[in-house]
Amino acid sequence: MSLDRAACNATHFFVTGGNYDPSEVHIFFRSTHTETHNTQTMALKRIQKELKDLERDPPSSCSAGPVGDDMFHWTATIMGPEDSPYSGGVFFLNIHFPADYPFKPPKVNYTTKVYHPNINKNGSICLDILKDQWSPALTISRVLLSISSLLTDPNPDDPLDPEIAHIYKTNRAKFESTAREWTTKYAL
Amino acid sequence: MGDIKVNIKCSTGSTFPVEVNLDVTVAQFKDMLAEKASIPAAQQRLIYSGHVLKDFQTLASYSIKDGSTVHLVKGAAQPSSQPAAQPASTPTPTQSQPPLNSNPFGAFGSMGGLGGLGGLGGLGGNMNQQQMQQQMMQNPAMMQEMMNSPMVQSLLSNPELVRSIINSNPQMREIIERNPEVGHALNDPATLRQTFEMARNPDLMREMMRSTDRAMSNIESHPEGFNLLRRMYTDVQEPLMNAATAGNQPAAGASSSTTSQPASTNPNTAPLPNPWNSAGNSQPAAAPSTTSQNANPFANFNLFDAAATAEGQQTGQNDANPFASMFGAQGMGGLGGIGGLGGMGGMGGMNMDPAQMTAMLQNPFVQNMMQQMSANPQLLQSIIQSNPTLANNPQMQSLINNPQLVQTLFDPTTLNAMLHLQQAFGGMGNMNAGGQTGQPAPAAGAGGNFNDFSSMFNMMNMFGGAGGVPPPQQSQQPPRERWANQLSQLSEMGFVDVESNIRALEATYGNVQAAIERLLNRYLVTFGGDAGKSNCLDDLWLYDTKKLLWKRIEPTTPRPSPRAFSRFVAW
Repeated sequence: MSLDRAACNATHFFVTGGNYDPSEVHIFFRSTHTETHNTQTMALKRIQKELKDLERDPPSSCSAGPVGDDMFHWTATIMGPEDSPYSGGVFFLNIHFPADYPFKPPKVNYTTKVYHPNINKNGSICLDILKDQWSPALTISRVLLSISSLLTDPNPDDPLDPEIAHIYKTNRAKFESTAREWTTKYAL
Repeated sequence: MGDIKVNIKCSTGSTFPVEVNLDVTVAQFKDMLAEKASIPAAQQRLIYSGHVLKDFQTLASYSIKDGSTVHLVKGAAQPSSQPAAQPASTPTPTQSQPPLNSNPFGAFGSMGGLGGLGGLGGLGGNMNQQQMQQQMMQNPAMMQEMMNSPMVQSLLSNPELVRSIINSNPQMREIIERNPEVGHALNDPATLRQTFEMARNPDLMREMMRSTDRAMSNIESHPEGFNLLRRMYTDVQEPLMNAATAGNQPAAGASSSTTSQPASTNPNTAPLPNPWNSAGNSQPAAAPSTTSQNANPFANFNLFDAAATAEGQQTGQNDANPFASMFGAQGMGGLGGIGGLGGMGGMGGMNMDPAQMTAMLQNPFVQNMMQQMSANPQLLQSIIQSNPTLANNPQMQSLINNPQLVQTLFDPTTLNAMLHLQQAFGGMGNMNAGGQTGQPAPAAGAGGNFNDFSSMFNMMNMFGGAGGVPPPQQSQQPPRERWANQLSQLSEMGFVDVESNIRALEATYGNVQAAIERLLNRYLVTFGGDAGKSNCLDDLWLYDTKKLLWKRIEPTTPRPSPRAFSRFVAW
């Protein structure tokens, strides 16, 4: 790929070649850049609106807000559902919004250790709406509620930690006692 | 600033409004809520905008506004939210946030404490250490009781002893091996004391454990952090291991132990003792010296060193040196523990052949040493008192107070006779090697007639066993038989090179886990992979980093399902 620096002031620029087909020519219009900027402004607006809604009327089991001044980086808490081995625990999560939010899903992961078939040791969450089932109509509040309901109803058939899923399926009592133990240890 | 209205949302789902001034601290705010929510302030956790509110901050610092909703969650000690295993008697909970300046190794220290107590369990009998630890973790009351028991109290007053117990615990040693920092921490009596203080307070301990776990996993999940841990392991552990194998020459090793021995008054300034050094195994033994005015009761053991060195120089062949085999085989085998006493056990004649023993007994240095020993009952006394099991044994006390008996004990003829007796007994050596303190107890209770050779022999067993030493290897068996069980385990896992396996087992005293780690330092193992088009594989390959060769291995045990990408699987 080559990019002529002088072309930066032009209304559009050419990029030729590439790893796959050296003969191809791409033309990027300046407006593309402006669009990126617009996308980010749009994301910010949307995130700010979601924050406002969350502050006014948060779901009863979750809470979320920006870490510092960066609106694209949030922290969230989920209270362990009463009818689950996680009850009593407060679980922390990190949320990163992509620049093209809400067209791309936010990146959400636990920072508290959770013993759960769909949550791995890095805190990654296996949830369809965070991946291919994401829809711009979803909000962070609804994502958190889904994550919270995942605590009550794990999905062992699509596990992120196969070992925990195996125990969940074969020895429910052991699974629940370990999950409770972890909750006491890490989330109380 | 005037009052604003804040909505409080309870975890039960109910909501109530509160009027509050934004300049109040979170702690004050909790006091206000205590009555309305009927949750004591200490048990409240307030969450706003994804953050847990810290007691010392003001509400304004969290930019809480008029009409904001704050979540209120019941904290730890709420019996309803406690798991069954947690006794309801748990005292008031600590704050939700761990102390800011908490020492991350504090928790390791507490683990060390536990391990040490587990070691005590081993001393007392055949208690399942892991079970004991678990029970203790789940039952803070029991832990507290134990911590306050006079025995443990006296133990605590002697951090050196604690350290030696910790060193005698293979699991603990492994931890120290991987984290030299921990070793440093354990070398500091102040840290140990702090640790035990902490162990007495279960809440504090939980808090510490949690923050450390978190910190460690944070380090692990960070790619560079993991590398750091790995480097720590390879850079520190490997050279030490090498030094240990190289240091098998007893004379050299023994003398190094005398120089690196830290002064008990100022343990932190001394370099980290090397637990892998062959003679370094007598190192922890030197550590538990009591605080009595009697300088170092083990100083005399340096006679061993002196004798060994002298002998080595005179004859020029270490094999002929009885101490060579003693420190080489016994000292190395009886890793950690109150190694000095283990050495005494060795003197009782664990695996020594009569010829060597006779040679040893005829050695003027040894005779000299023996005489010194018998002439100085105080010395023996201090050795015994530094060991709680021995110190609490009245039979033992009366024994030491009888100088004649002690003299008889160290009389070469007696030793010789005992040695013959042991030969006759045959299997007795195994008992000795097992380090079972339960063993000598009945003998000691058998009337205290220590003039009887057999009970004296048992007494020697006690010396050997009281070290709480992990079973030393039976060097008369060929390694292939001795490690038969471990070898079959290794070959099941796919480590097919028997010679390497034996070497690894020899170096790790038959600890399969450690042997694997040793083997893996040479081999790289990969499992599975992607053959394109989501076609995952489940083959296992070994890469020999020395021969630079790939080899496919076929474990006979079940394997994980096919998979690609890096993923951590416990199998």
